[in-house]
Amino acid sequence: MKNKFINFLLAMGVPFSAVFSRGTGCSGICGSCSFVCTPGIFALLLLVCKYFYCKGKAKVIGHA
Amino acid sequence: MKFKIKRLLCYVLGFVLFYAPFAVFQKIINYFLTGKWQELTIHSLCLRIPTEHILDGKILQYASVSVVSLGILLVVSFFFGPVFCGRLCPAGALTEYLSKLVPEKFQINWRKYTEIAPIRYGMLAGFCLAPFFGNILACAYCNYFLFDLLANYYLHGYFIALSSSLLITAIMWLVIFGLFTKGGRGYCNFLCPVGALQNLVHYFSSHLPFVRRMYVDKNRCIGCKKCVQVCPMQAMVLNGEKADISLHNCIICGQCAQECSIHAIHYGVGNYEK
Repeated sequence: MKNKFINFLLAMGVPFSAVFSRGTGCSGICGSCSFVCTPGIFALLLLVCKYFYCKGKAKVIGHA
Repeated sequence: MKFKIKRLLCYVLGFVLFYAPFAVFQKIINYFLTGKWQELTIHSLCLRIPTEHILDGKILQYASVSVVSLGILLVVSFFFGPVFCGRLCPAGALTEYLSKLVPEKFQINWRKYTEIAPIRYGMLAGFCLAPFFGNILACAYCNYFLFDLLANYYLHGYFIALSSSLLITAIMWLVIFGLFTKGGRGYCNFLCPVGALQNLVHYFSSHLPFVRRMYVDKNRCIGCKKCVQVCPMQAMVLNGEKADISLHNCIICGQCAQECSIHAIHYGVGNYEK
């Protein structure tokens, strides 16, 4: 249950990560940006971290 | 084979209904609302903008075709489940078909690493709360729009420069959550707010006796895992050697029922507690 709640909050933070990246006159074209793409990067990081964490954990358990 | 062709034809129908140059669905709704038959695109249907403004009350300020369409979508989801995703959405289908090009050993089965439902609904909650903080993300991560760009490039040569967020959407939708995700529907699972909203509605309505949903006849199920392997949304799980359907991400595509050799999976009303 605790894990579910943490995942929910982290995922909720994905759209919210745009709050910190607004307001410097982004035209939306790559290169002129104010990191309008941060939610996508944050989502990607979240899932990649989960992937490597689970892989690493499985390896540690395998060695033990 | 017949089922696969039928499914493919449904997605072609979805393209004709929702995407330019046809966009028949929007045109019909627009005709009923305004009395005019106009050329419309996927943008006039946009389901994401009304979804984003569902909590802040601005929903009615937006294009009425979108709001009426979202209303129809939610009513359909209430009674029949998210059939739009499983039977009509060509953007979701594209990545599902693309994922068949990559061998399974190179694909990630996300269910093994994380629970899908909390992330799915967390994204939806963040998406609906973002307008309160001045963020509008509906267009920034839109795979409907990307699909429109790709499809209409081949039909009409119409294309625009991709924004940074659309480039990331393309990478996530087509590559990471498409080609390299088991089932090819990672984007639908994690990042599509419209799909999440439909599943939320379906989850609550499915407890009513007159609502149609997928169910497993537990007395017949032999736990062969065939349904688990074919489910593109990773919605099938084995629970004590019996198959179980997660209503948080089942899109009623019917692949599990088709694959079940002993016909233990059905789509219908009523006796789902078997």
